[in-house]
Amino acid sequence: MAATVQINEYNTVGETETANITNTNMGDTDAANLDPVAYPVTPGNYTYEKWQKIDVTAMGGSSAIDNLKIWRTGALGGSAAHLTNARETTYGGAETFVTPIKTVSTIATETMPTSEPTDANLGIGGSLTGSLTAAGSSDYLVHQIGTDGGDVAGSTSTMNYQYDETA
Amino acid sequence: MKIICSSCGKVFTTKAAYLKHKCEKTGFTPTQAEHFDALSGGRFSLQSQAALARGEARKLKDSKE
Repeated sequence: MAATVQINEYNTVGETETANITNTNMGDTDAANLDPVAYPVTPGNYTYEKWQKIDVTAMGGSSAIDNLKIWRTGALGGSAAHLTNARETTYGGAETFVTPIKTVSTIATETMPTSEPTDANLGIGGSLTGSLTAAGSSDYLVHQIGTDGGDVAGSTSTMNYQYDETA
Repeated sequence: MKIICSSCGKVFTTKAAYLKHKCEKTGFTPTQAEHFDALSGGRFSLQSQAALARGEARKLKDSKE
């Protein structure tokens, strides 16, 4: 047995939790598993923020989950920028949920890494050195894409959510 | 509080109820690895093994330092 882990997303003013999302498509609607063709972001504007957590539903006999790393692989379209609260230094601690916005985020302000970070960049209990020893969740991961007025096409890339598990 | 199972679409008002439900799509609860393997074509177990390998390697490294 091993721990069971999923990614959850939180949307709307009611903080509706969609458990075990199937994608993290970014677009012009505050919804999980959104269709980016139906909800494209118009050039020069921002996608809605994504508010997500790594959720351990059961430890499965393991003793700890820690060292959370978040990054994206694959290029964005045009001059778009992908920003996040995840970072290895000057981590801001656990964010308190606020309704996702589609204007520039004041929380997601660091460029999303495009390769595996050296150390943890998302916290547990507000700390990058935190760990889960029972079922529970990470801090919120907040991320958003900002587009340029000259961008004409979207793109497909991969979000990586990595954890270490100790038996 | 509203929790939606992304797989079967059922809506719950507590986390405990969500975790206990047997997903209609997989036949397992969200606390069972089989649930995630069914949804990922078995990739979850591979990812889980990799996470365990990383964690155990770090533990061994830390014990030597």
